[in-house]
Amino acid sequence: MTDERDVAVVGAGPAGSACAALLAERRREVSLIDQHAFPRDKSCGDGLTPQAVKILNQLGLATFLEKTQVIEGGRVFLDHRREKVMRYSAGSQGRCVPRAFLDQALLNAALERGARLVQGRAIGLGRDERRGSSTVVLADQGESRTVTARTVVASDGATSAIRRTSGLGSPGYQVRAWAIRGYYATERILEPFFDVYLPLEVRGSTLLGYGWVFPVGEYVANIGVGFLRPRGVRHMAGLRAALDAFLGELRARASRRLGDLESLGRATGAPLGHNFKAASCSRRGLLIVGDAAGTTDPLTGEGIAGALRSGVLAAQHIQAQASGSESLSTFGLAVGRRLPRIGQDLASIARLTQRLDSYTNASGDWRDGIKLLSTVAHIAADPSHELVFESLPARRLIEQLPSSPPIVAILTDAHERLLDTVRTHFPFATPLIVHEIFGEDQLMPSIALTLAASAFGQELSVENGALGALAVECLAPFGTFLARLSDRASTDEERLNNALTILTADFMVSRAMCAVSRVGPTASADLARTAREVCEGGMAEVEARYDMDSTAERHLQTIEQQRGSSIGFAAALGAELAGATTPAREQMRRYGRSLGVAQRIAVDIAELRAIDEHANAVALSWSRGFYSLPVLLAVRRDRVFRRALTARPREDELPALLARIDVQDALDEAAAVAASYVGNARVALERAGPDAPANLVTLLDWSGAPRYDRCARDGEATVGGRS
Amino acid sequence: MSEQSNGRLLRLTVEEIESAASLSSLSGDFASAATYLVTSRGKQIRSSLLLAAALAGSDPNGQLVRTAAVAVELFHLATLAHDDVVDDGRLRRGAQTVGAVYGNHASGFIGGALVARAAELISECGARPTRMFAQAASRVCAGQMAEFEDLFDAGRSAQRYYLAILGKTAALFELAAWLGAWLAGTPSRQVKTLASFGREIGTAFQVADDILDIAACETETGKRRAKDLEQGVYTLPVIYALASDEALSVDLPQTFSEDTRDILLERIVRSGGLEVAARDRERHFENARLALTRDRGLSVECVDELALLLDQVMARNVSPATEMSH
Repeated sequence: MTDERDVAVVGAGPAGSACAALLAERRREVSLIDQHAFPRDKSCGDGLTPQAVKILNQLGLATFLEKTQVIEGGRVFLDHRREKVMRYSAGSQGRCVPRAFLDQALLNAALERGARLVQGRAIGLGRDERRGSSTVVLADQGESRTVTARTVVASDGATSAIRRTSGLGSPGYQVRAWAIRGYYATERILEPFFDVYLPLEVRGSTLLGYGWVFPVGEYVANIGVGFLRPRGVRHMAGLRAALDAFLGELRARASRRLGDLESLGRATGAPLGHNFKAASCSRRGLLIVGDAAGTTDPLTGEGIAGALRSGVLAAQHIQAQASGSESLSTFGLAVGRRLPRIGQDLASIARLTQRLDSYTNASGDWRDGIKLLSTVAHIAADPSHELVFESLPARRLIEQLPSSPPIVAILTDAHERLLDTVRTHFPFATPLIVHEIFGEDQLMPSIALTLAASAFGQELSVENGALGALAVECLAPFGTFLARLSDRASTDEERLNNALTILTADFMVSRAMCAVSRVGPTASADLARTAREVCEGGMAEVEARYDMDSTAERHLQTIEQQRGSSIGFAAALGAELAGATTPAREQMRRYGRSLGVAQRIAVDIAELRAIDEHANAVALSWSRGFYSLPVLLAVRRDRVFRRALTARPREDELPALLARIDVQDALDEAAAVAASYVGNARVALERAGPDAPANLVTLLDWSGAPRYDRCARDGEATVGGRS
Repeated sequence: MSEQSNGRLLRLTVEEIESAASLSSLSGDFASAATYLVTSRGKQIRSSLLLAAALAGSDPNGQLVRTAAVAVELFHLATLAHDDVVDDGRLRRGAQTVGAVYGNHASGFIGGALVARAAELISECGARPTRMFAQAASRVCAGQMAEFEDLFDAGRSAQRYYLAILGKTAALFELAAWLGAWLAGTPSRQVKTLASFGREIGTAFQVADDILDIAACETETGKRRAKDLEQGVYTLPVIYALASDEALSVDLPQTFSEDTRDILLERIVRSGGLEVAARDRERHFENARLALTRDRGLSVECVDELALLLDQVMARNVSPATEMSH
């Protein structure tokens, strides 16, 4: 038996039914396939956040929700003693609805709008490119059927068969988080809050997760535990043990709130689909949504809002594709943009911390390693960790540009791709990389690339621009990462830091190579030569350590290799992408190299000018024997300074030291050197002769000479300031 | 592993690798550290694999084949230098590591410079090889990271283990075989066969190495026994041991130390984890061999050369000590 439809949606959970309902509303022929007879139970916390409620209302479920349990906020109970209450803001409410009812209501919404329900278990997917259709294979009581449709939406959960058979990899492969829950009758009336209990302990060891009590009615609670799979726990038995331990705790210590608990049925558990990867959300004729796409937050376990949102977006993308305005391939990025990814970033850090923590018997030093990871976690938890383009200092530069190319779109796209890749393969490193790219470098390489391309009269497509931007941004911190290694690691913290640093450096450069290989072999060779120069610069810098008599020329050559080379590469690649001639491209490289050096000097000057703010970083680099240009110039003039530097001053001694000696002349001389590099860049730009050089002139002025005038921070972000 | 020559196998000369690495532009200590790394005569399995796979094509001795072989070898040397930092290993190939002698900056920058040089060389080979090389490099890193993520995880599955080694080891073997075949003008079906041969032999190679780490004594491998275990890397024999000895999953991460090492190793050996892992190893060697014999389109020369390579890898990595009598 065959059947041909516009869209086949596999799995009638929240993501699938939401998608089917919206498509059917737009008069698309939709088959909604599910193996179960509804209503059916589904292991879940049943919690609907205000965001989830909002989407459900838009899907027409407002009347249904009115009859369900209201939730006013969340409460966190620490060790059954301290309690923290967080109320939802006025006008927004959560709900708590058993999935048996919620999923039935969503399914009804889809069926009422004209979707057709097909019962059967989907076991595979085929694609007929010639006819432009996909075929879902169903196994049903021994016989096999197929449903053929132009587009398939896979919403078949964390163990998605469709995803597995479509070559996008098994989602369950990486599943690390599990949850188990049951329904329990209580003796006391439950208060309308999502209650979360921490810490979660089983047989004396702490699990990374929490226990919850979510009211689904006055006297009925959904009680469960969810955690990242720890050492040793492999099976459902471990899950049940964790739930039993939590119930024991509740009975012993929360009886005042709950009274006795009576089980209303066997508890059931499920893996959480939490490894979202934008690049694995679509194939030709196929979109992956909900748990199958890993949209659940691994730390909070919250999954319904993400699933609904991805289902809604899938419907929108299919509609937009039909009208030709959007291709399905951008679907993953669109979903990723709307998911809070911080849980994903933190989860792996948390897991390693947990394991190292349990390893202290053998080597006490591992505790130091935890410090590093908690620093990483700290950076990850910083709000600036998520890319908010509006808040970047570079934004102010872009506002000043005489003409404005599609720079924001290109940068946003490039960084979303980068972060998606990093989060998938290198979750630990995400915070470090974000910190590196958005912290010090101010996106200068990708800005140089984009402006260089547009100067030659070529508006880069977002696709090409993003590839180039990805390549130059991934390459730029290579040398910085390598220079950050501790040369002779003596503690486990240093060793761990070294390992993470070098893995990150290599991964970044390999991503740069991947991106640029799609531009062409010439660009690839160019990138390789630049990477080598960066390393040579790094070696030269290491060799010059503690050498106060190193000449300015040598120092300048080193920073040109380390820093100038990658900005030069970026500018040259931009020119190449815009189809500039070879001589013009080489002049653009010179422009970029000089720009990079001038920028570096400006940053170094700014550090000494505002020493109160930068004392930490400056003291650290002096203690490691790295001296900037103004320092080398000042040492030559001032014996006191020389002696002080030899004694390796501490962070808190720096402001007094710099007040005592006169570094003004040295700073002025360094500024003059920077100005000469700006001049060189200007000459190279004239020789390159692009049609519209105005933006590149502005970039030069912005990142070169004038910066040290702006270095005293007025509470505002300082361009080029290293914090 | 002891230093042996590759016998009759096709291989690059050390001079060839050294001159292509163009180390002369490096200064001082770094130059000698780099020379030390490049000339320390590795086994060169990867470049030999590449040269052997090229025998399947119409132009097995072309300059690009040679260039790619050097690129693969330089990339491998770079990963050795960077692995030293990751492992903080003190012994490699029975000799001191670059990191131990010259420090981590030397390992880092020299490794970086060699990766860069390898990438530059491969870009001479054309767009497609450049893309394949970049992707393989990225997979190597992701595999390393997957392993790092699983440190001390007594619940690590065999699937997670294979995910890690497919990246960190097999990806480069697969790339080597693909490059040799493709650059020599081999028909696409055979290129595919050879790539999967590379993947299988690479996988078997790593499994064998991990078995040796647990089974062999220090003088045989040139590495401290159970170094991986000590650092929290639970390799295949350990994973299988954990599956049959539940209590080990608590004891291993919590009580491993110098004093308990031999007792825990004894438990791993007794659990039969080594034997199960050895079966996996044999299966991958067998897969590699089958790939060769099943594809009738491969030249006799190519099949012979690869079979020789396979034998040598097996002979070297399957020490008699690991073939335990029961």
